Amino acid sequence: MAEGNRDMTHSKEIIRVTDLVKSFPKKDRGEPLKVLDGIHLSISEGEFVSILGPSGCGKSTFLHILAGLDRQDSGQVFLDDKLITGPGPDHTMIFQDYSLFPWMTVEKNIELGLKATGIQESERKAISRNYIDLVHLGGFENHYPHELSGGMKQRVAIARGFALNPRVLFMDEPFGALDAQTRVMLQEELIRIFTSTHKTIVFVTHNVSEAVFLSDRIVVCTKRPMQVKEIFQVSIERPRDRFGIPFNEFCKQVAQLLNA
Amino acid sequence: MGKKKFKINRGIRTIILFFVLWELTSQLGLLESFHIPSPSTVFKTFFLLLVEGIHVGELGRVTMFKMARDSLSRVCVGFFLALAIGFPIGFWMGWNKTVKAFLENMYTVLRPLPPFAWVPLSLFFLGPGNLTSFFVIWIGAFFPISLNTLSAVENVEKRYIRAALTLGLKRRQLIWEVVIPAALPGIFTGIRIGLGMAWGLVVAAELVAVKTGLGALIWRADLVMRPDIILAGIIFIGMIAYGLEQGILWLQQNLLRWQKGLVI
Amino acid sequence: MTSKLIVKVFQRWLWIPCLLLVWTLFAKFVHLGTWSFPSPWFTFEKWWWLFKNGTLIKDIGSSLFHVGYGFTLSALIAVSLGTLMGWNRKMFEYLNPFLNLIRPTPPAAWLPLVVFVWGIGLLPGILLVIYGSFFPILLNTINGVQNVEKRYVNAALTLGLGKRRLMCDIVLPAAFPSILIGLRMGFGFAWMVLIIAELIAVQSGLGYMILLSVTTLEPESIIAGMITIGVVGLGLDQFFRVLIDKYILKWQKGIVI
Repeated sequence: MAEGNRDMTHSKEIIRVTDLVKSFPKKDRGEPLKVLDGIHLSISEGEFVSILGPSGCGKSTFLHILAGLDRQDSGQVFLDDKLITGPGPDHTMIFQDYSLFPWMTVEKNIELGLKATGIQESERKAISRNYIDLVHLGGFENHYPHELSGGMKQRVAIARGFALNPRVLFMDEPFGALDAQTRVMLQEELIRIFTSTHKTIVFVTHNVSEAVFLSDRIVVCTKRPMQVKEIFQVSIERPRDRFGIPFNEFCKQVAQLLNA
Repeated sequence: MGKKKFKINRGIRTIILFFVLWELTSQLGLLESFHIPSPSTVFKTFFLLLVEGIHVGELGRVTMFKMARDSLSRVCVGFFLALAIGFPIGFWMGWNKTVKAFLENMYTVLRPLPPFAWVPLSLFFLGPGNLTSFFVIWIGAFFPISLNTLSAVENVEKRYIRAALTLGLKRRQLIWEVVIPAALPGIFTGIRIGLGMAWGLVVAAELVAVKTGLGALIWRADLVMRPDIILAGIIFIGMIAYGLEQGILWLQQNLLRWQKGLVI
Repeated sequence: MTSKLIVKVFQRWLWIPCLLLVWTLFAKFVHLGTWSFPSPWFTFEKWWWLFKNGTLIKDIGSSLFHVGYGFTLSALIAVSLGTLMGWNRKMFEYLNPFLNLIRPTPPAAWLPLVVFVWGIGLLPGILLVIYGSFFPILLNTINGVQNVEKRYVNAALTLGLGKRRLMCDIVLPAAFPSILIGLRMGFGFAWMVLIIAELIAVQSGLGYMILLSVTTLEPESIIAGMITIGVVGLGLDQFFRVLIDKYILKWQKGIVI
């Protein structure tokens, strides 16, 4: 069931970022801190793109701007040729701290976004059940977040995001808070879901092997102020063998560039 | 398990010791000069008040329940009014920074004034009777409720709001399904404090301004020289205070069962 | 830049003219019975008159005396008992249930009993203030002592500190912020309870003064008295707040050991 390297040249462009600049005003010294220094990026439909960079380089800020949760100083972000001006379900985000609502059950968490679009209750239940099964959490519909492990909580967050059937899904180091084993497990789950739903995903991480395992393309970023250093096309076939030589060679290449 | 039982025993021992000492000193006549009755007398009076009722001067024949009912109904009116006005204002102030900036200074002025200090003014303009008690109860409960609601809404974790927005929630859903549930623990604290104040104030108000209720009962009892009724009344007032507090706590624990795991 | 400052100042002090405006309008249009609500100007006039002829000062003095006496006594008892109960598990288990039984009872309920035994006058006020401020101070002291980090105690014991030194130099200072918070809370209650007592059972002080103004049909005095009560209460509360800021802030700077 090897998923071949998808030829992106014929896919429609879904996200376009032009010359994105952002600075944070500094309280003490008055000199603003430049975080994003003119970013250009184009993402095609159905792609899995990773934003890879050292900690603190601004990739999280970048993703928040794409998702409409933060505002840039200059530059534009287009989703399907329309400007992104704020957050919304068609370009939703999944967070590192899951941000599940603790007063709602798993099912209610997933249904919440569906409720906002006016979908009727019976259909909402069906959709949420579907996605709960997709992330292998069947039987936990009526559990509260505090009763779940970290990995399970993130799976709920993933189900919640996918259930909205967004045009693009943003993920901000979603596996950062998990232990290594759970992390690997969830990476494999994510790829499984990705290949079955063909969603466009923009994924932020500082972990090289994670980026190589998951992505079609890796955007390697500089330190703050962030710029695009280089974009790698990952041409290894899926499912990718972490212990294989091509995989590790590729990781070495990327890591070298990252640390340069 | 054996250790826990032992612990309960210590506290109970103190309580029993207290009553025993009280009874003893009373029987020995040591409390005569203070005119304090023995516990046995007080409990007898207590049950008499509950069951049959006692004639207390101007009040006529009263039972504990009737008096309690009068006090509690006043609390209901004043408290629910405070909730109805205090909760929306507190919410609005927590939600909207300009509103908060505008109103909070008025709060700083009015809040340090003890609620009971409003009694003379309200006696003057609203006259003695229920209106004064409603007003004083309202003022006493209004500030804890609105201030705690304000703080609870202000301190809703930004990440919940962020997540809600990225899921596409519009304002109405955001407020009712995210902000209010997240703020509920703090709101409950405000309700609990407000209710405590309301109960304390109704008793105080009944000492001065109103003719019925538990406060009036114990004040009259003083006038007709019945310290046993005073003590019986105090005990009942304390019991209701305890019950109200526990009631809110119980409500909080049941509605907010998810709080157990709030350390996510 | 200056426009931002102006807006800020405006926001901060806007309530004063607004309040006065609302008050004046209220006074103009509210008539309850034959009396209209006193206007700000008459009230301030009355206030000044009361201040000048000394009665206000006398009443403030009375109230301060009542509250000071009661609060100090209450604080001494509550802090001592609280330290004992916070430190000694046994004592806590003996006394806590009993105290918890009494705690929910509102202070006002005790008034008739106190008046019955000791009559109207100074004592009901002081006793009630003691009762009203006792529990917040006690509970916060217990909390503060109980939560002194074990590692401080252990460090002190390792250094060979005797019990007295341990108490005075380690435990009490560590618990001090909590105790201060309790004292501030307790004082707030003390002031509140004082007014109740003065209104009902004490023949002097600010509470009594505003009640008297009802019978002498002087609504301006009532409000003037209320303002004084609020201001004095606020002023004293600020005193505690400054203390807390000074001590807790001073600590927190160095608290990362």
